[in-house]
Amino acid sequence: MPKVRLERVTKRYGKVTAVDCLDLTVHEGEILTLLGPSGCGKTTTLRCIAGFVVLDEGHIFLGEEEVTHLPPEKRDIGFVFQNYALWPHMTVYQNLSFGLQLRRIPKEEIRERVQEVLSMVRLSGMEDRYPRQLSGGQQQRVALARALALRPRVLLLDEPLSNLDAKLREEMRFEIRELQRQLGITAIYVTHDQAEALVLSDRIAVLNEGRLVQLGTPEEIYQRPANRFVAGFIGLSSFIEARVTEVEAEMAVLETEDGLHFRVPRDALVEGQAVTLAVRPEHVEVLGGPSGDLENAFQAEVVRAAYLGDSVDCRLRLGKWELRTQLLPGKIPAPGEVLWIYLPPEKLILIPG
Amino acid sequence: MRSGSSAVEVKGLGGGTVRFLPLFLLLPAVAFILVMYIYPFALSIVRSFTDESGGLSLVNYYKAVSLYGRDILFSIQVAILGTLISTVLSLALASYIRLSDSRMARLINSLSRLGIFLPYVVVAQMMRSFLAPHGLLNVLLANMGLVDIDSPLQLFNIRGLTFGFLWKETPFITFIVLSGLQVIDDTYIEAARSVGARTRHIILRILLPMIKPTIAIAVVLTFCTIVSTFTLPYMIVAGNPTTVTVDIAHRVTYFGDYRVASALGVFLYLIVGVMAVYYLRRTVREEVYGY
Repeated sequence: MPKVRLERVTKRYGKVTAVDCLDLTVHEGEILTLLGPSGCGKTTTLRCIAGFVVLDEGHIFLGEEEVTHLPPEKRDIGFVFQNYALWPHMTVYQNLSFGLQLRRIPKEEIRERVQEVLSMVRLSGMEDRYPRQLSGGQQQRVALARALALRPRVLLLDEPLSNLDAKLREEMRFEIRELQRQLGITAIYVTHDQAEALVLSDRIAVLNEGRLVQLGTPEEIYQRPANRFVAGFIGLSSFIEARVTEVEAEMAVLETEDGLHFRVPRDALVEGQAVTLAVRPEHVEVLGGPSGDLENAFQAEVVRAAYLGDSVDCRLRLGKWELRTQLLPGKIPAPGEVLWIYLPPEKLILIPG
Repeated sequence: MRSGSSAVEVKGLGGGTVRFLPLFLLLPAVAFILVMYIYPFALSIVRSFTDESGGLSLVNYYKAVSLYGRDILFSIQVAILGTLISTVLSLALASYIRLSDSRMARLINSLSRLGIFLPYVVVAQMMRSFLAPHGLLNVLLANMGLVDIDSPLQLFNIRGLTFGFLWKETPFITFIVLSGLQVIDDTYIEAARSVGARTRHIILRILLPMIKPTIAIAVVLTFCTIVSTFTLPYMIVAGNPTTVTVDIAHRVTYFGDYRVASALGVFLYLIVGVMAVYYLRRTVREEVYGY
């Protein structure tokens, strides 16, 4: 059942279109991530849903109710801000109880609810502290608790982890995911961090220049990117442009302009079609020596290699193309060294055009 | 020169080491304060306790209270009234300007700054023609049928004086309060709206408490300005009661009586001093302790 529905949502700032005719549905109980580079319109979309930004065109529905023209205070939405936005003159308890007081909930119930959400975010006993007396991670948890205390219809999170250090950010991803599952709350999460999106989301909506580029599960987005932008934005990819020269029963042959041949699953390819091959670093297999008759095996020259601790990031020259791969730590290949590599046909991502 | 010494050392004429250069650098500023502020201040206090023969006495205070007690209370009354009303008006105006992006808000924002730059003497002159029995205000009210022009509102009294102070001080407080409000990130307001706060809740529960120190400072400065302003009461208030500043001028100009004038000045110091101590404590607390 759709919990949030966006129909042709458009928002312009002067001549710039921040969100361009966006259609999107978020199902009940799922966590959907809006992912994209800076300026792609993800935060504007979230702010439109919250009511902080007035749409130029389109409609927003929460359940069956259209909320397009409702002010934020009447939308029953929880919002977690990037900078937490905890009111500094209020204690944790006052921050959490403010919204409940406005709804004229009895004092005793307010106390119970505040205790409940504080225990959910593991901050029991911190009621009397002021935000300045809390660490960044604790402040982030209070911000989350403040949004949850109201038991909103939808929880919106605008890059809530971006101000935390890398280790805490990683921990918090799982905590937010776990909390969302426990409560079964519908959530929309904005981030530009692909790892965060992959860990947290039931589905990911990839945005670029205000438009929805691809919508799917993390696996779908990663394994079958709809276009070169998605393949490049989610995970690392190297790109090779080629043309279909031969179509067989199950396989097709691609040829690049510098004469390299690749065998790939046929799919819906037709002869003469231009395609882009996206190659993930983890799908480049380095062979111990000459490949014999193995198809899709090539000699590639090491351009440079960087030691990353748990792996070696290696850039290879294959014809006129550059491929990126990750090697196990060990001997770091020297620039100019020639390696035999194998690109498994079923792992190659084919992007039309 | 010793290594590691933080003091600045200079070779003296006699070859000795002079280590007081920092103090010499401070001397002009300290001397200026001593001569221009501390000395006259101390002198006026001493003079207020001196009788005609030069002996120590409370006679000046007795005279000040018996002749001008009503005016001292009047000054306090005007200062409290003017500060209170202009603060309330300013808070409303500044909140409106902060929360609205309408043309009206921008217009009010621009207009409200005009008053800050007008000197009190100009404001007083304007108020004299505006508040006069047949001035613009009475004519306007008469045209609206609210006042009989043959018995117009008499405004050269506490009402007119307070109005004049409001006209001059409201823009000043609005300016300071708005500066404080504009520093507040929009997300604090949006966070309040997202939990169901309406405009009045946002103003009263979020914005104003967040800038309490700024408001306190604006209130103190305004109160002190109103208490110590001479021109406006001198030109607006006809007869008694009037403010202490007018009494001081009167005492000096017509009687050459600096002793009673000084005693009246001490009353002003006390009134302003209470607020000044509060102001200093507040600013020191903010600057040193950060809250």
